[in-house]
Amino acid sequence: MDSAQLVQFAISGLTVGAIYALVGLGFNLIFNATDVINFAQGEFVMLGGVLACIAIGEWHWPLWLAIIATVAAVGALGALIDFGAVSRVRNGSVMTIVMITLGVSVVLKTATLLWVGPNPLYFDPFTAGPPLRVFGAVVQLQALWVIGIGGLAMAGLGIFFSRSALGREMLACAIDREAASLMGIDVRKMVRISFILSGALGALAGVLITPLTNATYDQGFTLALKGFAASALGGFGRSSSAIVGGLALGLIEAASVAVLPSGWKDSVALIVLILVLMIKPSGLLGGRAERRHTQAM
Amino acid sequence: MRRLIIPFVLLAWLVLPLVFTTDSTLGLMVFAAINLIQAIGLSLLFGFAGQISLGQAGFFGIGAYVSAIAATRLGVPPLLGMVAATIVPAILAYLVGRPILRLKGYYLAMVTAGLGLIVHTVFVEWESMTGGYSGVANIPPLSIGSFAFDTPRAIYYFASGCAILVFVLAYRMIATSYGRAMRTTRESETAARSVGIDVSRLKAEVFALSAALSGFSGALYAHYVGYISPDTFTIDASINLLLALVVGGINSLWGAAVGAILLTFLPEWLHQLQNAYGIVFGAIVIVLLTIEPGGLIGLAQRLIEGVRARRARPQPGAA
Amino acid sequence: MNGSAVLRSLVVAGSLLCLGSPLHAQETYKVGVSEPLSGGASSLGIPVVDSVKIAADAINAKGGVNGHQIELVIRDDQSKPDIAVQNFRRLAEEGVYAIIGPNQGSNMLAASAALQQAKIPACSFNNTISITKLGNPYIFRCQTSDADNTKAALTFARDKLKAANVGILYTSDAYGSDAYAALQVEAKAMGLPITGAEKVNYGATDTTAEWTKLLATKPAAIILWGSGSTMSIALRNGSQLGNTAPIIGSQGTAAAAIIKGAGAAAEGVYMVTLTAPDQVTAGQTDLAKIYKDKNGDDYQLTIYDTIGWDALHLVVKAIENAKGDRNAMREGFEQISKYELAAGTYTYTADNHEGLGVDSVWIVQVRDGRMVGVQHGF
Repeated sequence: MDSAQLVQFAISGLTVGAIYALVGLGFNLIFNATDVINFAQGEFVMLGGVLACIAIGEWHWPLWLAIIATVAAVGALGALIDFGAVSRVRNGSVMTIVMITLGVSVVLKTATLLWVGPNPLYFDPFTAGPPLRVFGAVVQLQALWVIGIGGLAMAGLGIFFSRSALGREMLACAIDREAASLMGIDVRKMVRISFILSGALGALAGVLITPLTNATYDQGFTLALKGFAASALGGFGRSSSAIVGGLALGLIEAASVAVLPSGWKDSVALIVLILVLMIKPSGLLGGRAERRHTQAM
Repeated sequence: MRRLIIPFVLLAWLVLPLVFTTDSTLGLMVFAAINLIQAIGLSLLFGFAGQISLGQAGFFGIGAYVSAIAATRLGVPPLLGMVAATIVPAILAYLVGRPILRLKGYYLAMVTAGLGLIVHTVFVEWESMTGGYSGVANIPPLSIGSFAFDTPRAIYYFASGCAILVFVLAYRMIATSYGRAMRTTRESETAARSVGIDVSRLKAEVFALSAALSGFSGALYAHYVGYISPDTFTIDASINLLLALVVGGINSLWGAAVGAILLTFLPEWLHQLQNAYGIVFGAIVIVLLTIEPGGLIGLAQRLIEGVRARRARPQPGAA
Repeated sequence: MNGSAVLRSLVVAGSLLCLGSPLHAQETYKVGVSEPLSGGASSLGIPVVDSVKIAADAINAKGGVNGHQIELVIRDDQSKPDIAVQNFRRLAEEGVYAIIGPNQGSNMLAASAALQQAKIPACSFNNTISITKLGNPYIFRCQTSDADNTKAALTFARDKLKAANVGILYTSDAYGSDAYAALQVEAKAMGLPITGAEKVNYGATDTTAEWTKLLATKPAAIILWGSGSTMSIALRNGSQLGNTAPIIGSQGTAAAAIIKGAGAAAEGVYMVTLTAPDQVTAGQTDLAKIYKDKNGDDYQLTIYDTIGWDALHLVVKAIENAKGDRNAMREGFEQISKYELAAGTYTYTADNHEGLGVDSVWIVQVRDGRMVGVQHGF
């Protein structure tokens, strides 16, 4: 194997990893504010891709409008899910909410199938032109968009949670709901906002990755599983961990193709995740503070 | 009243095949029995011990493959293969369960989903043993001595008999001190430890028990259908089982029974809906859990309590 | 009226409503359809069932068979093997003359035992080689076997593309891995070396790592075998990585959605299929007219439009041969000889349940986003 191939494997890994990282960010967000994992997060991503395909391919909207409309629509859907179901759960545990989000994911998946059918949807990359060449290896231009906007989103979230009053209130809710409530923070409002944000972020991820991955009604759960793995591998609770976890996951998968039969690709990443969680449940980057998430619920 | 339930169920078990005479309806009842055994396992694990699993289809598959491969390659009698199909997933689950059950909630959900996916990959990739995606064909039907359970009626009596037995045993189990320890662990692990319960051992044991029940029902499936392939043992199957159980109700074994019946019959009753079925099923999950986290059984209990409360005096035998 | 009778009449009523047929159930010949109308394979099942319905309307409009109308009893197998088994049982109890379906090889293998008990023929739509090698005399293939499809692909690579060797990229599902096994056997028999073979997971969203590994073996032509979204991604990734070797895709790639999704990367790609959309064969005239009346003159027949039509016509022919005797349907099928229909010319005998042979296989090429026939028959 020559060096160009090695670089190509690395680039493949980083491209795929950037996708996982972006999906993982959405998980992180709801989790940060609510201590809940939204199992419909993958469906948010899938819907983002599908809506953008419809807007661009069938309605011939300009790209920027399609992105804004899609992000807004799925953000609103996030609010609707919280308003219609999650906020109405009667004396329910976190697990009840998880089951409801699983139910939501089944509904969204099926509704998408009925609406657009089972065939893959697709639209062209944001920038046309031949892929870049780096050390003899090929970089798809869309991957740069994924990495660039993903990085921006991460930085933005970092500032939001550390600087803005709203962000801090959300963080306070995650650390101790009751204490936050006693401090006069409107916990319900924080949950609603986090559902909106994660819907929007999921949709953004979907729009960005569709020129690489296509959009199909049934790809949500796999994306969710990988995104969750990215978040968990890095360690929940901070945005940068989803990026590190995602990229690591992508590289592991690409490396596994280089040395193993490629059918194992999906499993290798999960095996690594399980091993990491067994040894260090707080994830690669997680400190003691994040431990509570895995150990007490 | 409660005493009458068991004889009533037994009577229904014997009489049902006389009412529903067609092979296809009997076949559906076999699937219901298979689902019930799985659902009871998951109910003990999730409902009573509080540990979620999204990987039950993996253990279901391991049981199916162990028994199918033993029967087709080694000529092992199916009944013996079924014993192996029960033990192998249990041992695997116990070994894996000790470390992973330290994780909580959705971590456990995702890790068990991951386990299911890994097991699925093994079914696909270990081609020399499992036949890869082409699966294992010509699996012989169950037999005891020279008697083969090769008609839907015979297999109905066997499968549903097993399911009723498992149900009764599970019902007894949750009434013992072990059952109380499970519930204590679900409510608070700290509390459980403080009263001297070996929490991590208990969780691994219940995980192994649920895997054993899934493995057993997987073997039933394999010998009944006669063909298995990785398509059957997917993450979707795990999710559907879990959601059906939750709809039935996780706080009672009767919820598992309702869930198994829904899981089997609902797609049949609603088959005209085709792809829209998922919307109906998902909506049932969302609406029901929003109203009542205890599922249909929880809802029924609430209604009965409501009726009782409205009456001035509780009347004996009302339930 | 007991429970099962209620259930049965509900089912019958439901399927009648679904079809909008008049209510004279006793006089009709019932034909069962068990196809994936939901789940992973529904993109194949839905157009096939449409095609079967169109055939039923056409046949009934001409007066049916022996004066009897055809009545379809359609059930969804949800792309799941256990539901397929259940459907086969139920359809057999409804007294159908034959079952059209299923689409997936694994579902046919699962339903095989139920079919053998029912003693009626099934027209199975899949390419999976093993379904006709089970020793089950009731399974009839209404498609080409992948033994023939892979043979056509390799012959085309060797003779027309003058390729000295081939590389293979295939999906991990039964469709891809079954064909990979056939490709290995066939290539060996033809003396055509395989430089490398890479498996991609069904539903994979990136194939660049697999392509990198495959292209390193420098194949002169590439065989791409699989179906679904991954195929259009694979075509794009191959072109992005600078692949210049010609690609021959499977039947699963010869679908409008995949060609559209691959965009420019699909240009020039060859595909193995059963119809050349730009050419209407003699057996396709009636069918093409119906579809064009419905969808406009621009419409090009797809493989799924043809095989459902063919299957019902085969069943009708078998009913004629069996003189309406449900117990003689298998023999009725085995008497079908040189029957030209939309997807090719069918012949069945007691020993050969393949129906179509390698003479019905088309190689098409994608030009300006549309499939153009290049070679018919091998």
